[in-house]
Amino acid sequence: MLRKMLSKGTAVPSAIPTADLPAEPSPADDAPPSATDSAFGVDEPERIDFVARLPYELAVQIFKHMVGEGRTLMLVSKRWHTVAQDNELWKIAYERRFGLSKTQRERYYLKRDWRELMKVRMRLLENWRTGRVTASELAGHRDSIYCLQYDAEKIVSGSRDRTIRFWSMSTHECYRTLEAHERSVLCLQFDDKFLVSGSSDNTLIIWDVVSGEKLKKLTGHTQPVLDVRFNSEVIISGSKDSTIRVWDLHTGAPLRTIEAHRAAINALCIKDNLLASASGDCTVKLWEIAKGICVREFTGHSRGLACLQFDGEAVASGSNDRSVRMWNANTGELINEFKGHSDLVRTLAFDSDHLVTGSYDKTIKIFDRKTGDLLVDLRDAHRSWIFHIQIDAGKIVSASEDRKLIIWDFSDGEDVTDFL
Amino acid sequence: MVKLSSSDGREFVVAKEVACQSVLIKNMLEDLGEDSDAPIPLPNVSGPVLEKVIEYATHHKDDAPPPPEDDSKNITKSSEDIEEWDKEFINVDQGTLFEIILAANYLDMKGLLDLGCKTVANMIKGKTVEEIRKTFNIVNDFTPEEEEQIRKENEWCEDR
Repeated sequence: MLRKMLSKGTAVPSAIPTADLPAEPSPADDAPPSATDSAFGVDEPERIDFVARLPYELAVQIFKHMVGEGRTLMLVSKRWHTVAQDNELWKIAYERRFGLSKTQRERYYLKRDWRELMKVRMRLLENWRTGRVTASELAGHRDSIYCLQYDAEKIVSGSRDRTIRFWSMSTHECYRTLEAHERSVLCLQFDDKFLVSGSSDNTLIIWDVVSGEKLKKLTGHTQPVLDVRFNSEVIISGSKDSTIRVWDLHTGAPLRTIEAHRAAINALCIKDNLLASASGDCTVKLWEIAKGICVREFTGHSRGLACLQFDGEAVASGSNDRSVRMWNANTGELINEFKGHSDLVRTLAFDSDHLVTGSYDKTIKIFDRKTGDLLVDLRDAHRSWIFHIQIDAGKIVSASEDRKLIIWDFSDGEDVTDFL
Repeated sequence: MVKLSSSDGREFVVAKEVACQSVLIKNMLEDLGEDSDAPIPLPNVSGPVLEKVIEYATHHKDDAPPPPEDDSKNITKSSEDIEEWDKEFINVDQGTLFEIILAANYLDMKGLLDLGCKTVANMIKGKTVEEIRKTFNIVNDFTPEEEEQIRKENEWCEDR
């Protein structure tokens, strides 16, 4: 019955278990048995090369359950090699390894060579691990640069020289300077419509990020505004006055003041409906934005905290105790501790593979996020304290007290725009 | 009730909701209308395999319909989550498993096809290249040079 059905499909001879045969002579050695030689197949269970004999699509279906073992599968036989090269399998492998951001999903509807993408991405990872990097300096600010944010086209930086500067990512030229704060620009964030900046003049300014026009000035904090984050509805600011203030993004109206910490609020991070804050009082707190209530507290640092990142799953905080702690945001459990800096950890950023930190010890360090190992030490580029960094798959941009911005490019000439 | 006829001419009478686990049969019934008494011919499925398929469809007749195909679902695709009954059901020799997979594909039964593919995957997982060849009686058709080249071309891969 079985044979009959097979002969209808693929014209592959039925499997004969030669590989398992003992070395001593057997009847099979004299004359090759036919596929229907029932005397031969009685003792050995039938063995079938599923991947070779099933239609291609079904073989791919099987391999979908083994993404990540491709290197073994492709060495079994030529047919297995062909199936293991299937583009859909590489897409799954890529997505599982690196994830796909929303913009990537939108961009990736086109057909792509996922194996090639994966290959370039892995090479890029290798450059991060080995520190194969090219540094470019952007000079122009007349004093310390405290903060920066970049996207594909531009870098925006805020300085002690009271200006905010826009730099072209492609030419590295400064093409716009905004002046309205009366003292240092300490923090900023922009999206495709707005730029919001906070200053040691105790105010925040909302700007039109496209035209550069100043829209509103927010007053209320009684001390410098140390960090600011906003989403589509609200602006949240943290100040040396120990409060967090929530403002309406569109009207600029103050909505709420939270007496959040016992010391300065140095860093904030928003993810969906949650806000994380890091303070000089050594703690990180997690807040429900809408209600203004603290839902979790993370303690363990022995000195004040300077920086923070929160992605919904993990919280990382950098401290004057020279360490970074990473916590499980949902349970409060400590996941990892990163040590190596010899001074305050002033800024940090992490992705799925790395934790990158900038310190008053003038170095930027790249750690393996999972093992906590120090991979690369970027020193001798900035001559003073590092104040801020931002990272993506291909680069780090850093701002320092030495008045320079540096772009650390790991792409090694490869086009990595696909990964950003 | 619906009458099904296998490739070797055996007839099976099953409840409609059992038969309709197969999208192929479901579509056929919609085309034929309710009253047709003639058995539905399934020339690609033998009697013994159809019996297994019906056993599966009967057990799963009250299952919720499978969620629509979604790209992001692939992320969680795992071959470990096979329920006990299914495990017992699919514990068959390679020949039968092969026929069940072909039948599930032909009859368009996503759950059963998935179970079959997962089962083959589990037979492969964690094995070395040599062990895989032995398990499925596969002859290595690479020259040593070709093998070396494949190894080289994929050095950058992570084994995870």
